[in-house]
Amino acid sequence: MVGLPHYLILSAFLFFVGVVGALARRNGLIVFMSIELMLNAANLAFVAFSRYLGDPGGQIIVFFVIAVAAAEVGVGLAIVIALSRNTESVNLDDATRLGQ
Amino acid sequence: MPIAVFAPLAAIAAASALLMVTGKNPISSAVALAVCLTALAGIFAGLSAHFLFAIQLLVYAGAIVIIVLFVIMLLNLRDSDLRTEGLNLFRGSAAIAAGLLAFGVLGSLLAKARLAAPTLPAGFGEVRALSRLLFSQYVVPFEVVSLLLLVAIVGSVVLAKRHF
Repeated sequence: MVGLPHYLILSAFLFFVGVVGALARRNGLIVFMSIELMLNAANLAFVAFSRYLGDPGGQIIVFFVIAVAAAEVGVGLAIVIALSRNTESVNLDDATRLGQ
Repeated sequence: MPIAVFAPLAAIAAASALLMVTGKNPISSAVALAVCLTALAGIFAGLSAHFLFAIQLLVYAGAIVIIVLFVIMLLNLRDSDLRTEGLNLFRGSAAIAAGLLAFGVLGSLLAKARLAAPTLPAGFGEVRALSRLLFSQYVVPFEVVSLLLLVAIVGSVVLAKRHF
Protein backbone atom coordinates (compact mmCIF):
# COMPACT_ATOMS: atom_id res chain seq x y z
CA MET A 1 0.00 0.00 0.00
CA VAL A 2 1.06 3.55 -0.68
CA GLY A 3 1.34 5.71 2.40
CA LEU A 4 1.26 9.42 3.02
CA PRO A 5 5.08 9.90 2.64
CA HIS A 6 4.93 8.63 -0.96
CA TYR A 7 2.49 11.35 -1.95
CA LEU A 8 4.42 13.99 -0.06
CA ILE A 9 7.74 13.03 -1.62
CA LEU A 10 6.16 13.18 -5.09
CA SER A 11 4.74 16.57 -4.13
CA ALA A 12 8.13 17.83 -2.91
CA PHE A 13 9.78 16.54 -6.09
CA LEU A 14 7.27 18.34 -8.33
CA PHE A 15 7.81 21.49 -6.27
CA PHE A 16 11.58 21.10 -6.72
CA VAL A 17 11.20 20.79 -10.49
CA GLY A 18 8.94 23.84 -10.52
CA VAL A 19 11.39 25.94 -8.49
CA VAL A 20 14.27 25.00 -10.80
CA GLY A 21 12.18 25.78 -13.87
CA ALA A 22 10.99 29.13 -12.55
CA LEU A 23 14.52 30.22 -11.55
CA ALA A 24 16.69 28.77 -14.32
CA ARG A 25 14.56 29.22 -17.44
CA ARG A 26 14.24 32.61 -19.13
CA ASN A 27 11.38 31.84 -21.48
CA GLY A 28 8.42 33.63 -19.91
CA LEU A 29 5.95 30.93 -20.92
CA ILE A 30 7.97 28.12 -19.37
CA VAL A 31 8.53 30.11 -16.16
CA PHE A 32 4.77 30.54 -16.09
CA MET A 33 4.12 26.81 -16.50
CA SER A 34 6.69 26.07 -13.77
CA ILE A 35 4.66 28.23 -11.39
CA GLU A 36 1.58 26.20 -12.31
CA LEU A 37 3.57 23.05 -11.51
CA MET A 38 4.44 24.40 -8.05
CA LEU A 39 0.77 25.15 -7.39
CA ASN A 40 -0.08 21.58 -8.36
CA ALA A 41 2.60 20.17 -6.08
CA ALA A 42 0.97 22.05 -3.19
CA ASN A 43 -2.45 20.77 -4.31
CA LEU A 44 -1.20 17.19 -4.18
CA ALA A 45 0.01 17.67 -0.60
CA PHE A 46 -3.35 19.19 0.36
CA VAL A 47 -5.32 16.31 -1.15
CA ALA A 48 -3.05 13.71 0.44
CA PHE A 49 -3.39 15.28 3.89
CA SER A 50 -7.14 15.64 3.37
CA ARG A 51 -7.35 11.89 2.69
CA TYR A 52 -5.14 10.86 5.60
CA LEU A 53 -6.75 13.20 8.12
CA GLY A 54 -10.27 12.47 6.88
CA ASP A 55 -10.89 16.22 6.64
CA PRO A 56 -12.56 17.55 3.48
CA GLY A 57 -11.30 21.07 4.25
CA GLY A 58 -8.09 20.34 2.33
CA GLN A 59 -10.07 19.62 -0.81
CA ILE A 60 -11.93 22.92 -0.43
CA ILE A 61 -8.57 24.71 -0.27
CA VAL A 62 -7.50 22.93 -3.46
CA PHE A 63 -10.73 24.12 -5.09
CA PHE A 64 -9.80 27.69 -4.18
CA VAL A 65 -6.22 27.21 -5.37
CA ILE A 66 -7.51 26.04 -8.75
CA ALA A 67 -9.82 29.07 -8.99
CA VAL A 68 -6.97 31.45 -8.12
CA ALA A 69 -4.71 29.65 -10.61
CA ALA A 70 -7.31 30.21 -13.32
CA ALA A 71 -7.35 33.94 -12.51
CA GLU A 72 -3.56 33.97 -12.45
CA VAL A 73 -3.41 32.32 -15.87
CA GLY A 74 -5.63 35.02 -17.36
CA VAL A 75 -3.61 37.92 -15.98
CA GLY A 76 -0.21 36.25 -16.41
CA LEU A 77 -0.76 35.41 -20.05
CA ALA A 78 -2.03 38.94 -20.71
CA ILE A 79 1.26 40.19 -19.25
CA VAL A 80 3.20 37.79 -21.50
CA ILE A 81 1.28 39.12 -24.52
CA ALA A 82 1.98 42.74 -23.51
CA LEU A 83 5.65 41.83 -22.97
CA SER A 84 6.03 40.24 -26.37
CA ARG A 85 4.30 43.21 -27.99
CA ASN A 86 6.77 45.60 -26.42
CA THR A 87 10.04 43.71 -26.68
CA GLU A 88 9.28 41.33 -29.58
CA SER A 89 10.31 38.38 -27.43
CA VAL A 90 9.16 36.36 -24.46
CA ASN A 91 12.61 36.24 -22.91
CA LEU A 92 12.39 37.68 -19.42
CA ASP A 93 15.91 39.13 -19.67
CA ASP A 94 14.58 41.51 -22.33
CA ALA A 95 12.01 42.93 -19.91
CA THR A 96 14.33 45.49 -18.38
CA ARG A 97 12.47 48.73 -18.94
CA LEU A 98 9.91 50.29 -16.65
CA GLY A 99 8.87 53.28 -18.72
CA GLN A 100 9.20 54.20 -22.36
CA MET B 1 -4.30 3.30 -3.46
CA PRO B 2 -2.29 0.23 -4.54
CA ILE B 3 1.33 0.79 -5.51
CA ALA B 4 0.70 -0.71 -8.95
CA VAL B 5 -1.55 2.28 -9.70
CA PHE B 6 0.42 4.93 -7.85
CA ALA B 7 3.89 4.13 -9.21
CA PRO B 8 3.10 4.55 -12.93
CA LEU B 9 1.10 7.72 -12.30
CA ALA B 10 3.86 9.20 -10.14
CA ALA B 11 6.50 8.23 -12.70
CA ILE B 12 4.48 9.84 -15.51
CA ALA B 13 3.95 13.00 -13.45
CA ALA B 14 7.64 13.29 -12.50
CA ALA B 15 8.95 12.52 -15.99
CA SER B 16 6.58 14.91 -17.74
CA ALA B 17 7.40 17.64 -15.20
CA LEU B 18 11.09 17.22 -16.02
CA LEU B 19 10.28 17.26 -19.75
CA MET B 20 8.26 20.43 -19.28
CA VAL B 21 11.07 22.28 -17.51
CA THR B 22 13.84 21.15 -19.87
CA GLY B 23 11.88 21.49 -23.13
CA LYS B 24 13.13 23.97 -25.73
CA ASN B 25 9.80 24.57 -27.40
CA PRO B 26 6.95 26.02 -25.28
CA ILE B 27 4.40 23.91 -27.18
CA SER B 28 6.04 20.65 -26.14
CA SER B 29 6.36 22.02 -22.60
CA ALA B 30 2.63 22.80 -22.54
CA VAL B 31 1.77 19.29 -23.74
CA ALA B 32 4.08 17.81 -21.08
CA LEU B 33 2.34 19.98 -18.48
CA ALA B 34 -1.03 18.63 -19.63
CA VAL B 35 0.25 15.05 -19.23
CA CYS B 36 1.58 15.87 -15.74
CA LEU B 37 -1.72 17.44 -14.67
CA THR B 38 -3.67 14.46 -16.00
CA ALA B 39 -1.47 12.05 -14.04
CA LEU B 40 -2.05 14.17 -10.93
CA ALA B 41 -5.79 13.99 -11.59
CA GLY B 42 -5.46 10.21 -11.52
CA ILE B 43 -3.68 10.41 -8.17
CA PHE B 44 -6.47 12.69 -6.87
CA ALA B 45 -9.01 10.03 -7.86
CA GLY B 46 -6.98 7.45 -5.95
CA LEU B 47 -7.09 9.70 -2.89
CA SER B 48 -10.93 9.67 -3.11
CA ALA B 49 -11.09 13.31 -4.20
CA HIS B 50 -13.60 12.59 -6.97
CA PHE B 51 -14.81 16.15 -7.43
CA LEU B 52 -11.26 17.48 -7.62
CA PHE B 53 -10.44 14.77 -10.16
CA ALA B 54 -13.10 16.19 -12.47
CA ILE B 55 -12.12 19.80 -11.75
CA GLN B 56 -8.44 19.06 -12.33
CA LEU B 57 -9.22 17.55 -15.73
CA LEU B 58 -11.72 20.25 -16.75
CA VAL B 59 -10.03 23.38 -15.45
CA TYR B 60 -6.35 22.53 -15.28
CA ALA B 61 -5.63 19.97 -17.97
CA GLY B 62 -8.45 21.40 -20.06
CA ALA B 63 -8.93 25.14 -19.82
CA ILE B 64 -5.59 26.36 -18.46
CA VAL B 65 -3.39 24.32 -20.78
CA ILE B 66 -5.58 25.25 -23.76
CA ILE B 67 -5.24 28.96 -22.92
CA VAL B 68 -1.46 28.56 -22.65
CA LEU B 69 -1.42 26.81 -26.06
CA PHE B 70 -3.58 29.55 -27.59
CA VAL B 71 -1.26 32.26 -26.29
CA ILE B 72 1.81 30.42 -27.59
CA MET B 73 0.21 30.27 -31.04
CA LEU B 74 -0.90 33.91 -30.79
CA LEU B 75 2.64 35.06 -30.02
CA ASN B 76 3.87 33.50 -33.25
CA LEU B 77 7.38 32.78 -31.95
CA ARG B 78 10.16 32.28 -34.43
CA ASP B 79 13.01 29.80 -34.04
CA SER B 80 15.36 32.64 -33.20
CA ASP B 81 13.24 33.55 -30.16
CA LEU B 82 13.61 30.05 -28.77
CA ARG B 83 17.36 29.87 -29.27
CA THR B 84 18.19 33.14 -27.54
CA GLU B 85 17.91 31.53 -24.12
CA GLY B 86 21.50 30.91 -23.11
CA LEU B 87 21.47 28.71 -20.02
CA ASN B 88 23.73 30.54 -17.62
CA LEU B 89 25.76 28.01 -15.60
CA PHE B 90 25.71 30.17 -12.48
CA ARG B 91 21.98 30.75 -12.71
CA GLY B 92 21.30 27.07 -13.41
CA SER B 93 23.33 25.82 -10.46
CA ALA B 94 21.87 28.50 -8.18
CA ALA B 95 18.36 27.44 -9.24
CA ILE B 96 19.13 23.76 -8.61
CA ALA B 97 20.60 24.64 -5.19
CA ALA B 98 17.48 26.61 -4.29
CA GLY B 99 15.29 23.78 -5.53
CA LEU B 100 17.25 21.18 -3.56
CA LEU B 101 16.93 23.35 -0.46
CA ALA B 102 13.15 23.50 -0.95
CA PHE B 103 13.07 19.74 -1.64
CA GLY B 104 15.22 19.00 1.41
CA VAL B 105 13.20 21.17 3.78
CA LEU B 106 9.86 19.94 2.47
CA GLY B 107 11.01 16.34 2.25
CA SER B 108 12.51 16.19 5.73
CA LEU B 109 9.42 17.79 7.25
CA LEU B 110 6.88 15.83 5.25
CA ALA B 111 8.46 12.39 5.15
CA LYS B 112 7.99 12.16 8.93
CA ALA B 113 4.24 12.54 8.60
CA ARG B 114 3.04 9.02 9.15
CA LEU B 115 -0.68 8.78 9.49
CA ALA B 116 -2.79 5.69 9.15
CA ALA B 117 -5.48 6.18 6.54
CA PRO B 118 -8.78 6.53 8.40
CA THR B 119 -11.93 4.95 7.03
CA LEU B 120 -13.76 7.74 5.30
CA PRO B 121 -17.46 8.54 5.62
CA ALA B 122 -19.59 7.66 2.60
CA GLY B 123 -19.49 10.33 -0.08
CA PHE B 124 -16.17 11.80 1.06
CA GLY B 125 -14.81 14.08 -1.66
CA GLU B 126 -17.97 13.95 -3.71
CA VAL B 127 -19.94 16.95 -4.86
CA ARG B 128 -22.61 16.82 -2.17
CA ALA B 129 -20.20 16.71 0.78
CA LEU B 130 -17.92 19.38 -0.64
CA SER B 131 -20.72 21.74 -1.62
CA ARG B 132 -22.28 21.53 1.85
CA LEU B 133 -18.95 22.66 3.29
CA LEU B 134 -18.34 25.22 0.56
CA PHE B 135 -21.65 26.99 1.04
CA SER B 136 -21.60 26.96 4.83
CA GLN B 137 -18.19 27.19 6.43
CA TYR B 138 -16.30 28.50 3.41
CA VAL B 139 -18.95 30.78 1.92
CA VAL B 140 -16.98 34.01 2.44
CA PRO B 141 -13.82 32.81 0.64
CA PHE B 142 -16.08 31.45 -2.09
CA GLU B 143 -17.61 34.88 -2.68
CA VAL B 144 -14.17 36.53 -2.53
CA VAL B 145 -12.96 34.11 -5.22
CA SER B 146 -15.87 35.09 -7.46
CA LEU B 147 -14.86 38.74 -7.05
CA LEU B 148 -11.24 37.80 -7.79
CA LEU B 149 -12.24 36.05 -11.00
CA LEU B 150 -14.22 39.10 -12.12
CA VAL B 151 -11.26 41.40 -11.44
CA ALA B 152 -8.95 38.99 -13.28
CA ILE B 153 -11.22 38.93 -16.35
CA VAL B 154 -11.38 42.73 -16.53
CA GLY B 155 -7.67 43.08 -15.75
CA SER B 156 -6.53 40.62 -18.41
CA VAL B 157 -8.71 42.28 -21.07
CA VAL B 158 -7.28 45.70 -20.16
CA LEU B 159 -3.70 44.38 -20.12
CA ALA B 160 -3.98 42.56 -23.42
CA LYS B 161 -5.75 45.40 -25.27
CA ARG B 162 -3.68 48.31 -24.11
CA HIS B 163 -0.66 49.45 -26.08
CA PHE B 164 2.03 50.56 -23.69
